Amino acid sequence: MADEGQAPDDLTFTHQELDEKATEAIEAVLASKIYDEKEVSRWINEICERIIKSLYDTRKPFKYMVTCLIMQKTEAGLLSSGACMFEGGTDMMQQFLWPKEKAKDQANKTMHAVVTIFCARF
Amino acid sequence: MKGTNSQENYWTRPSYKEKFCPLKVREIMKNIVEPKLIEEKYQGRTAINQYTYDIAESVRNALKDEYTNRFKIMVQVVIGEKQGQGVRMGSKCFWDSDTDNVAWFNFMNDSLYCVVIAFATYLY
Repeated sequence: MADEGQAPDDLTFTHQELDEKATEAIEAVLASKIYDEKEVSRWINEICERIIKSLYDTRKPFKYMVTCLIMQKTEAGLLSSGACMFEGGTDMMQQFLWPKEKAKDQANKTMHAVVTIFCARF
Repeated sequence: MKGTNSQENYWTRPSYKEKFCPLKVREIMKNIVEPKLIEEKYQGRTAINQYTYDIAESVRNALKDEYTNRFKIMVQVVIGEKQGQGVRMGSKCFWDSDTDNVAWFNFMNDSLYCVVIAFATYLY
């Protein structure tokens, strides 16, 4: 039922889809980097920008908010949670940690990244 | 929260009084976070887990009362242990800058730091 130039029928995002976008963006920016105080803000900027761009390219009628946290790898603990008031079926809040557990060997050894993506339909 | 088809009015912009006011929201966040965390120490994942969740829920409920109906509210709370490590958080948004807004609040004590960020998008 989707014509040329009309919004797609599936008006929501899956966890898988957002995971791919987040991982792709982070890998592109942080893949073999070492934590550097001067570069961190630029990395965060770039990661958020890439994710927003890939979300925007889907052309779905959503507003997007992306937060990115980069932390140097130490023994320190970190917890992040969210609470939202939005529309149940269509809006999403997803958090992603990088590097993932199973990719421990190749992935970055100096920092962690946590990306949170909010999508709100309008 | 139901869909937007049956509305009592057809405004596409919040009136001046209805606008999301970051300064006011900061005060709300401060009044929720400071009493909870001012004396706390980072004591391990399970204890802090409850705090992040409680703070997120409290802030969301407070904003829900303040901005009923017309705004979708999204709150994120991050609590971390201070161990001299470097940490930085940033965000980017793709929205209607006339109607939507963000408010954030940072808190620190000797053993932990807490960041609360709230996004509000207008429901047309």
